[in-house]
Amino acid sequence: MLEVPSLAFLAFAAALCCLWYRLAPPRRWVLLLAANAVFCLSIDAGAFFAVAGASAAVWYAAPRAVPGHGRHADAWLAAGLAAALVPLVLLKYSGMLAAGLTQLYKPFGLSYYSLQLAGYLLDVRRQRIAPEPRFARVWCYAGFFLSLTQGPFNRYDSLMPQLDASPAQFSAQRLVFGAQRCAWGYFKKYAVADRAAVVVSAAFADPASFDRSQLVFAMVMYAFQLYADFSGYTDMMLGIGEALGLRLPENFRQPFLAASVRELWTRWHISLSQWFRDYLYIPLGGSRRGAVRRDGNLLLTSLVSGLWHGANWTFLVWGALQGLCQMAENHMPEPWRRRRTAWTRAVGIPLNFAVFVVTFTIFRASSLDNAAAYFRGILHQAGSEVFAQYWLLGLTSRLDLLLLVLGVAAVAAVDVLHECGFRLRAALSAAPRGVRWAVYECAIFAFLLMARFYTASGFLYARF
Amino acid sequence: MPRPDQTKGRVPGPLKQAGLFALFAALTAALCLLLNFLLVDDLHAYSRVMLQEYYAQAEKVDTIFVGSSHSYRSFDPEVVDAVLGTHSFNLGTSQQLPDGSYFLIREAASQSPLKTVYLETFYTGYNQTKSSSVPLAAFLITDYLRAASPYRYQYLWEMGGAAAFADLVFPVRHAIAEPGELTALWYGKLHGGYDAGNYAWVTYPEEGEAYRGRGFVYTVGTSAWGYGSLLDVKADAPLSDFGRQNLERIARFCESEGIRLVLVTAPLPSAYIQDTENYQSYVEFMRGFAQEHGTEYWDFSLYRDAETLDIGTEDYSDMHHLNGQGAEKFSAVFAAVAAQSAAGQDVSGLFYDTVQQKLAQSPDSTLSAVQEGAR
Repeated sequence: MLEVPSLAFLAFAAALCCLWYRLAPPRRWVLLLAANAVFCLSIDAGAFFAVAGASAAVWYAAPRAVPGHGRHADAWLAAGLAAALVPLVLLKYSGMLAAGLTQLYKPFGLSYYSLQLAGYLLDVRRQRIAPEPRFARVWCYAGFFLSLTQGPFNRYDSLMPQLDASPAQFSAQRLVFGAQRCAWGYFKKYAVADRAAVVVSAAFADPASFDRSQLVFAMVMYAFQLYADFSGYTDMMLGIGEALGLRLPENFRQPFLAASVRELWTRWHISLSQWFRDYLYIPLGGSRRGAVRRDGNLLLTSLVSGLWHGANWTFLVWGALQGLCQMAENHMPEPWRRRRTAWTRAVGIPLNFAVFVVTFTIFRASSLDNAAAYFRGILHQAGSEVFAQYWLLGLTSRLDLLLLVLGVAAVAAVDVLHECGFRLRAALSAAPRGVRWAVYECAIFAFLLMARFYTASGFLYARF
Repeated sequence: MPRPDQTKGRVPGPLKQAGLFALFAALTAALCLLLNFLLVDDLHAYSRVMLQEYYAQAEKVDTIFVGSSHSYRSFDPEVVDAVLGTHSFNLGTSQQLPDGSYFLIREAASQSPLKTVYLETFYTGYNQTKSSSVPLAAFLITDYLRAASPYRYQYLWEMGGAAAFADLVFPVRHAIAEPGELTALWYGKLHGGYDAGNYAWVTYPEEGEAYRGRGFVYTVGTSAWGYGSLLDVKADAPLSDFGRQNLERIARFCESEGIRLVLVTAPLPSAYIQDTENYQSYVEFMRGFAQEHGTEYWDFSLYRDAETLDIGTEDYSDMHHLNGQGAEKFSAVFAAVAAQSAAGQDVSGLFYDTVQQKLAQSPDSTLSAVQEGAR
């Protein structure tokens, strides 16, 4: 009922916003806990109990896992991690672990709350944060409704103190900024991602039916579909968070302007990359134990990251390719690694985008056979019918095609402006009312014209 | 996305804020009206003319035909009324799905002294899984239903939820004009394009198609593409759940209102039904459904008397639609059958029991044309 991005969800967020500022900041986490419960119960009652159970186990284990607590600190750490991660492994990978075993019930948000709880436990263990004495607060953190569907991953010491110290007074300006960001997220989802999805689904369903130009177009569209879908969702959540006075972690920073794969992972799904860096790559030794060990750690982290996305060989291969690319980059000469010149950036950005498009084609494919058929099509099925026979890719008219290209161009243009340091919302806020209204009217009618409503099938990353 | 500084500016008072909000809303509404005028092509819509005409004579209409293009291309109300003495109207619309038929029947029942509904049941619409798969089918109806009709909003809500209302207020989304036609459309909109009886915008001499009044569309020409099937029927599920549920509610509604419902399939080429796997399953389901609900199912693709209903390759405009000539022939035969039925006679014997019998004993000329073509 409250699935993002339904209107019911927006109404729910608006109601929360109204109540939020009526409570003193130290009590807001209780309201958030109630909101989490309503949100979770409306989508998947089983997940409500799963989050509560995992939170209880981790909350209980955390103070006992602190070194010096007793002889069994390691055992408590293992127990806590097991409580957080074993359900994820068992429920998500049952089909892969035992061939023929049907995929078991997977609670909503499992991949997200599991890692957040594991991160909390490890932070307590490392004594970065003190163990939380109140179970309800750990539960509130793990089931945070703005992150439960598909992130971003929050850190306990970043999210929870904010709740207690969020701005006491309602601010219209904050609401406007939050609404602007949220609206941009809706535009990305409905006008870009859901329109691109039509083309992508058609091409991946039967790659043998399309020529090279159509397949290449669809794989590029998939890059934008995934970006618009995922970052659109993130914009919605961060926008709502902003209206509540919360600064949630950014998940994207103009990823298609990265000049290397390594840089990409500091711009794409940032909160997940940071989680793997802090809780896997660095504990494995990071880059501190020589080049060979560093490369091995990179590859292992990338493989785990691939597997986190699901029990499919395509994710494993995709993860391996991401790891191998980063390993290769480590051995390139300096101007191609960190201190890039304008020239190496100019070459690196399109090259990296090409790597992204190719590797994410494997990521999108339903199986390795499907991916192979796709690449075979690109190599062997000559042709250039992509724009002449747009209907073959599921588009209903030339206008449909034009709107797709315009949507993609809008997303790219905004990213370039952000990369150049242009702060769109601040500039709009400072503009005279006439200009602001003109921009708002254009945005409203552009959205109404471009949004594609009836083919929506949820968010791509929600399934991970 | 970079976060802006949230420095506090001068905030207007609540009254001024409300005033500004109202002004912005009014500006948005005005722009919406202007863009709809400039960009929407509604002059070419058959359903606009059809519903406009229907509302003008709704008080007299006692019989309606509902269904997809198979309805508006097959039943000529003038021919039917001449035999039956009714005042009928064809409420068929392009790609009309069963839920569209349901809401149109409800609308007609609220506006007219309805006695009989002939529901055209071409099988593809009854095999759609959901209405939102073909949203345009809904908009062709809801765009032109009267503003006060509750069924307009109910249909939109059922079809697409709140999102469907974006199409209601901003039909540019689904009915945007071709750029080359804009000036002609503006002129037409300002100079009698919407006037009752003006069929100029729904007459296409080059395509050989024209709106002829009371919902009937006359087509000239014959099929250039043969008679290949659009869709096979699933033997174990001849209708989708969506199709069955809507058929059920149509039957229940008509029963509750004392309206006679007859399920009719306008003639399909014999070559077409031969090419459609398990079409017999569909026929059997519809006959069973009709029996269960105390109504009748007439499938004119299985009509026995090929001399009376003398249609063939010259009477189909494409793979499965009758052309105008075929429609006139069919309407006369249909009216005769309807008259017999109205007189209390059992007309079930006029139809073959099976597709196989029809194809073996009196197929139309499309079958031999296809067979000759294959040779």
